[in-house]
Amino acid sequence: MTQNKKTRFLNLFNNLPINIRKEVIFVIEHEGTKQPITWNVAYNEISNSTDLGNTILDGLDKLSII
Amino acid sequence: MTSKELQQKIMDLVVSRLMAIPPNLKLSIGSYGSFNNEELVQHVKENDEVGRSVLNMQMSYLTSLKKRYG
Amino acid sequence: MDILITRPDHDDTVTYLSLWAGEIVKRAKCSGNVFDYAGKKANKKEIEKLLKKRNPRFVFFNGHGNEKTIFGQGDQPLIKEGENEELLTSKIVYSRACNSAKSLGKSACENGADAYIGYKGEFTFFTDTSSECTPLRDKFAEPFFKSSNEIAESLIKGNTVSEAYDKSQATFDKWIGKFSSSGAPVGSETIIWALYADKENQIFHGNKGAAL
Repeated sequence: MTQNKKTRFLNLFNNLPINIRKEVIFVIEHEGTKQPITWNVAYNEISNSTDLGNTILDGLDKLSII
Repeated sequence: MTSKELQQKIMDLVVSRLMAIPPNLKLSIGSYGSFNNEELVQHVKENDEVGRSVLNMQMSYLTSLKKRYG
Repeated sequence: MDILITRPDHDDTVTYLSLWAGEIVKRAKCSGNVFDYAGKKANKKEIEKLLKKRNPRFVFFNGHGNEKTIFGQGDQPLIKEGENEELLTSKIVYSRACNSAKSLGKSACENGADAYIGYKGEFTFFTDTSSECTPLRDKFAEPFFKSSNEIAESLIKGNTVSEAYDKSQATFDKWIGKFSSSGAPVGSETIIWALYADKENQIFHGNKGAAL
């Protein structure tokens, strides 16, 4: 399931224009503060299979962005 | 994630995106008027007509990306 | 061929619409008789009089609007569904007024308008405060108005309603592409969503093969 979300994310990211990759697509809570996550930051986390990457994937799936 | 949590996530996302708009730019929305990024954020947080309109436009755009570029 | 263009200018928003529509006034003068009803002249009495007397083939409304109404100077209703949309009979109408294509546009075509192009949601655009004195040089407003002006430009050049619609949609895509690229002005990625919204909200009713 996660692999499917990862595949969907990467397929979409790989085709995104450069400037759009700077856009914020998610917000995480980290140490009590809300932190924006752009496509580029999400790519870094997801391609390195981090826990944060999985959280972002789940979030993007629920928001129907991927 | 509950429905309420999802709604909060959407609001946090849209607020964050609006804050990224350069402060010298203003959005004109029909007869509602023109708003800078801080004013747009305020409307979204208040969930009024302007805020809902902006939130819907933002999410419609974000969810369209997978069709356009996927 | 007679062309009517309304250009109220009583607030900042419609002033931008008015100035950018001014580009269409210049083009249209090469193609026919242009009745440029700007400022105070964009009132109900004058417009109804012209619509009845001259029966212009193309009417380009600029101004505020809602689902059932197009407004003129001072937000006076000009055309209201259920009241006087029959004045649009046999015309091609382009309305750059929020929401009017949702209901009024459909009703107008059911009551005899040849075609009605407009927006089923809010018509939005960004402006740069540093360009407010020179709206025609506003690089952030330009994509919205070049794309939406394309409807009027294409029709005046003799294209059909569906061709004009396709050209405008393609122009929106061109600007979205431009603002998505590495050479775009700083901050431009933050406004693409509004361009997309206008593109998606743009629709037409009536005869897609109609032309001026």
